[in-house]
Amino acid sequence: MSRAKVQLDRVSRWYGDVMALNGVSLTLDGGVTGLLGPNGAGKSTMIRLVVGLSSPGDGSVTLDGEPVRNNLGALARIGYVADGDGIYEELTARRFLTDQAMLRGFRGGEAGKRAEEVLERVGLSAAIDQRIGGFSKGMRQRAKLAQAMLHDPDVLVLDEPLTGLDPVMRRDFIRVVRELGEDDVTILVSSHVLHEVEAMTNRVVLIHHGQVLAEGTVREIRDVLESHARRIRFDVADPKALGARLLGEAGDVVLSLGIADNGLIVETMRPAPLCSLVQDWVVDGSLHVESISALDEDLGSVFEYLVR
Amino acid sequence: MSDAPTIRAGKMTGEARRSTGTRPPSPTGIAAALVAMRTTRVGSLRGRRLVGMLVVVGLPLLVQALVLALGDGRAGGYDRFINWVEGAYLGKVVPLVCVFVGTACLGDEWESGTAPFLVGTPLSRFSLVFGRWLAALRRALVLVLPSVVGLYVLALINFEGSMAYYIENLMWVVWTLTLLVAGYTATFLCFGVALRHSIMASLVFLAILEGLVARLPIGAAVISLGYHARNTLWQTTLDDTFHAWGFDALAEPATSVLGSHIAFVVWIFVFLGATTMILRTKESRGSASAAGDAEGAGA
Repeated sequence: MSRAKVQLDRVSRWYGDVMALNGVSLTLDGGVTGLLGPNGAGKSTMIRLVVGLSSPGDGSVTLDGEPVRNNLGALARIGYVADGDGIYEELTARRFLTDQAMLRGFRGGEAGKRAEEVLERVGLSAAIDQRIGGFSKGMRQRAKLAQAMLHDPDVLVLDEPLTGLDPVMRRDFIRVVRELGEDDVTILVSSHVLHEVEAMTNRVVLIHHGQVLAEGTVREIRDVLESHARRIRFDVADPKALGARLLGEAGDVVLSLGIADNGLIVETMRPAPLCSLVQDWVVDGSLHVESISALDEDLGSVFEYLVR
Repeated sequence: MSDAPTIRAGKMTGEARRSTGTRPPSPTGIAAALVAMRTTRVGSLRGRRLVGMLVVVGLPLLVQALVLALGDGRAGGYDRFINWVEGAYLGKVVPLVCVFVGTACLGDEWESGTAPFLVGTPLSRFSLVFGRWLAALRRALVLVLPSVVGLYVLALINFEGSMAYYIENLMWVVWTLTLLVAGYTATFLCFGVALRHSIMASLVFLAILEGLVARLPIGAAVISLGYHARNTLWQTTLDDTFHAWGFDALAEPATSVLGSHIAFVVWIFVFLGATTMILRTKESRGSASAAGDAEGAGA
């Protein structure tokens, strides 16, 4: 199978006065690429451009050199899982997939057979004759994945595909994506959760405010993460006492301390030894901690750090 | 409902994927249009809208049946049937049914967020539009034609021999209503894709074009579908009930039957063409959250 090459060349897109994408250039050439960004970063805009549902205001989006928008040859090679809830609620899964197969060129009985095959792959055989309106969020995601895979696409675009899936489904979904990527399907998968993308691929594109901030491996992204201070919150009965103890026994790893809502917020460059020390105190019974939470492990704070 | 078995990844990938990787050629031409027609799913036409449309097409039948019963079987006749066609079907029943069916058959895909499942497929945009128009036409005719034929039977059932005598006129009525449905469904299909509040816009369009322009005594009526339907019926049934508004002073028809047929065809293809152009440029955001994503980008 030849690798499909998707290319965005200096793509910009406005919605009225709002610039959703700003001069984005990107090449996807086989395998899985994670598109990471906080809500409102421009991920869905970029994805709609890649699947031909929108036109770029400036620049071009091509699949193997051909424009995607209104190009039937390109559309035949793309599978797309949208992030919205829009689906034919009144249809059964079988009818929905059979319709989609017919629109993709499968005929009559062949379309029905193909629908059964793909629904079986996504684990919806038991619900094949149930109305989609009665499906859980996870089952709807599976039906949409089946729809995206039924014509064996060269390019698979998944917009926040793990939303609403239970842990077992997430694991299996991630495995499917990885294996399809290993099979040289060109896959673009968006998420705002780093570890979800990390489980699917090592190749990541960071997007924020409509611009590509960084491209690289997850390792490189993690290096960036590790080069800036992290804030950790400890919920304890006496935050002042914990603060004093930390300054006394682990002053070299503490950059700053603060108290907010009966919690101690510690800023540190080395979160691992700090947490390990606190864990030891909990184990030996000298400290009772209700909870420990990292305040800026989410992508939003990483992006804030990157654009500082 | 529980989520039963998980995705079986292995079967879709590697050699298995290659062996099952049979992507058929995309449908083209008439085949594509027929597929687009067969796969038209209009959930919004069920429930209250369906009840509303059934009331619209059923009311003339109900009234005629009541009149027949209360009038001891005497209230009826060909003139009554023609008056129903002119007074109810041409100006009210057909346009209303076409508004609901036409705006739903394509425009609802954007309302419900299912547009990506349609416009992401490798069918030519004209085939999609043509297929959806065929679907709208079929649905509207299924509602309108049985009603008008039923009315013919109810109106003429007590008049011996007249049902067979006027059968040719009934055929012309059926044919003309078919043309009218075809024209209106093409129009409202376009409105459904182009306009946000398409039903309201369609009703305003009807009020202006058919209610106002079609009655102007200066010949402007020729740009309305209602005129061409009346003109066709006037000349084919020779019934003055259909004498087109605004042309009362003319002894001869302003447009021939062929001219009115050409007008119908031109009208249909102008609107189908416009719908195709709109479809090629229309954005498919897919969901409110996606739209919010775009808007949030500039925040």
